Amino acid sequence: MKGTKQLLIALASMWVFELPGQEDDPASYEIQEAEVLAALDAPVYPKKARNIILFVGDGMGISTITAARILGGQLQGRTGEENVLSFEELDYVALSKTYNSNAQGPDSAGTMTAMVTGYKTKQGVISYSKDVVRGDHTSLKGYGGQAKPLKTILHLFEEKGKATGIVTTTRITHATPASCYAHSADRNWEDDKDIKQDSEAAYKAGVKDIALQLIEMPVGDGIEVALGGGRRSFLSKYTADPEDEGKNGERLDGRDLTKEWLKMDGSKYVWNKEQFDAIDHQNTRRLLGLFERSHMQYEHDRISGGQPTEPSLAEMAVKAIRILRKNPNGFFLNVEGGRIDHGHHAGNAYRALTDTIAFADSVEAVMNELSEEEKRNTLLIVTADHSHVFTIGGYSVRGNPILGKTLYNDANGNPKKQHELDLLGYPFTTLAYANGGGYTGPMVRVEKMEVIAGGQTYYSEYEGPLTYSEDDYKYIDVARPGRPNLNEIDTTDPDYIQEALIPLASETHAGEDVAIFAQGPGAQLFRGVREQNYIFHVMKLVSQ
Amino acid sequence: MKFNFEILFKAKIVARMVTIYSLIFWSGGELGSFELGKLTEISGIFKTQIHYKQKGIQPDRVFTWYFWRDPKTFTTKRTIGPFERARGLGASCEVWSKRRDGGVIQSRVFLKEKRIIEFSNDELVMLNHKSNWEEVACVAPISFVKKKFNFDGVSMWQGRYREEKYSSIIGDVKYTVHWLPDFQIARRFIFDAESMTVSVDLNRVQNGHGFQDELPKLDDDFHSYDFADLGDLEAEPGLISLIHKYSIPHQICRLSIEEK
Repeated sequence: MKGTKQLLIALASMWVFELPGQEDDPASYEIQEAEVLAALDAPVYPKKARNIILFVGDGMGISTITAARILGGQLQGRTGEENVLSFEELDYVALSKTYNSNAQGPDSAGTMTAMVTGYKTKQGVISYSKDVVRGDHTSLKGYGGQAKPLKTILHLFEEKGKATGIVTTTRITHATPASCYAHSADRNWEDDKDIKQDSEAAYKAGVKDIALQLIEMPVGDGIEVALGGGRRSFLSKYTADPEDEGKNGERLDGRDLTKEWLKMDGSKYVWNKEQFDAIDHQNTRRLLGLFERSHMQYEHDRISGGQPTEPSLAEMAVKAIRILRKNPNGFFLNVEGGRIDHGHHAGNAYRALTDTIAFADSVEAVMNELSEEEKRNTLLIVTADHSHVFTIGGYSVRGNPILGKTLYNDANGNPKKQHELDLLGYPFTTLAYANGGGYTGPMVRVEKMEVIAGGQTYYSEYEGPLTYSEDDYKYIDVARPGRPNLNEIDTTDPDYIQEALIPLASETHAGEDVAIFAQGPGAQLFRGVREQNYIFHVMKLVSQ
Repeated sequence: MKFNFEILFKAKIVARMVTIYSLIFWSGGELGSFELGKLTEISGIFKTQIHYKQKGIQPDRVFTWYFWRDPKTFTTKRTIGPFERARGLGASCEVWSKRRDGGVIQSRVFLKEKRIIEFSNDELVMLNHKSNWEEVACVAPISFVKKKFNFDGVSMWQGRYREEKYSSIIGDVKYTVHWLPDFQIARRFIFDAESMTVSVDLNRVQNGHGFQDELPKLDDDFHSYDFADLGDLEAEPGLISLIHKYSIPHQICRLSIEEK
């Protein structure tokens, strides 16, 4: 990735790109006129889909798509704005309303439950009806409560004898993939240790953790492919992790679920790229891949250290299809670009965007893998569970590095020689967050701790988020220099944290709509502004 | 009003605006001939001193911390001092684990609160904590020091142990490292900048895992969280504040070298 960084720096030093000529400008009058004519002939698909592939970019709001599109183009040496991510070429687009049943600002558990079950539910809940009380097993049916486990699209496929799989860069027990195959009153109940720590009563009542539900899925013949991170929830607390020395699994029940997986017919288990690459899909019926103890690496970090030790999202998705397609009845596959969300939470646009590009690469790889006949019979959906408070601001010139500082045109429409300055006289970046760890604003809350030394009173050097209990601590609000002067700062550095308006320790999700892109049988049903659980009903309809 | 802006997990731009005594980056590089795989099991006590050169800004600070090292982990425990007492905090602890690829995982342990927050290697890099196993386990990046620093001679520590001395000026910072080959650990590591001097000194060291009464017992009652998941843990908002509450203690054993 060093080369990528150098390229970005080189791009940053070139304040203008050569704009595409009229003949190859995708936004030209002629090309767009031709695009309209092509659009008149809507693609014709069978009414029923044999396969469904649901791609979810976790936290991939529309601003993330736009910025990733530009970055992707600029990494190829172009201006960037005209670039097209693979999934942007799908036939149909709609908008999805992402709120949870009890939250304007949604989380992944509630949103993914909506997409794969057809019901909106509460924040933090995995595929249970909305009368659940998060973290309270007694609200569940079978434990004295009313909340019902919701049948997912993956379960429907299993019931019909079809193959199913999940692929993610997060732990495979994380909220988004887990919503496909598990039911849990709390997204954090990924293994039995999690349950015990969170609710002793639930643990004693024998509530099944998410990892166990994956291995012991009672529907159909069980999931065929599960690739991602999260090894710790499958290994016993007495079993050493093979990669992270000094670390063990987490399971209190002493079970090694990877060994239990291997007891199933035709099953294989891998935990590194070398083993993964050696898998022959022809003689593999089931594949469990757990490539990290927790989440898999960001794409930037995966390829930064020389030879990758874990596969890319694209490689996992293609391998999954090669295994799943052997079932003549068809398959359901969920592919999640899960760490887009984490990059944003950390306020690091670089990793969020490079993971978005990797996610788009996985869609492209799958499209290339599918035969023409398969494409006609496969509903392919690309969407996000929710957005982030991530913005693309200013009036920068075409080709200005998307990770760089803003550069405007002059009165004649030509690029200025200097970056644009704010009212303080400082340059500012195109990308920013409305909240998060990148706060550099004019006020900071300082914990008032008097330290008397040498006869003088000092104040504590602590400064931090406003998350303390007011009863426990005293604060003073003090002025600080405010925005930093970015002149000497390389904002295209992969480790740069974008500025944020509101000081929060972790950047948050956003409540605006996200996009749905679709192709294949039923794709034409994705138009307009839809509730997020509409996605399930389309999948159900075309797979009946 | 007197304060400074030292803090972990703030924007990099903030980090670059101020001199931070612990967030000093070393980009890694060749590990030379140092044999990491043969690190011996030792334990001991370090003392970190922070001296602010400008009078009246901050009082000098002294932290004492235990460490336990084996070939796979490096555990530190900060004793309860005025900082913790003033905040009602318990003792704090870090467990650094080695990854097979040479990276590390950092677990921040909040003993009183029984919480652990784990940072993966890529998150440490993203947050500008560029640590590798050698830096952590030896307290100083000794391969780099031996390769790039001036060799200032040999003396004996405590009259018994050979001590190699190295120094270098990188940017406007003078670094001094005293190395104990017998224990494969830095005996002294000094960061001397215009605004402050930070020194890490070994008080006691022994072979094997001593100080067992001090060694944290991390049983199943400890709740463990990944840093990556904190943004989704809206039900536990106090977690993030833990990181900040303990920001000073958790910097005391992370002195490293910035290669300009």
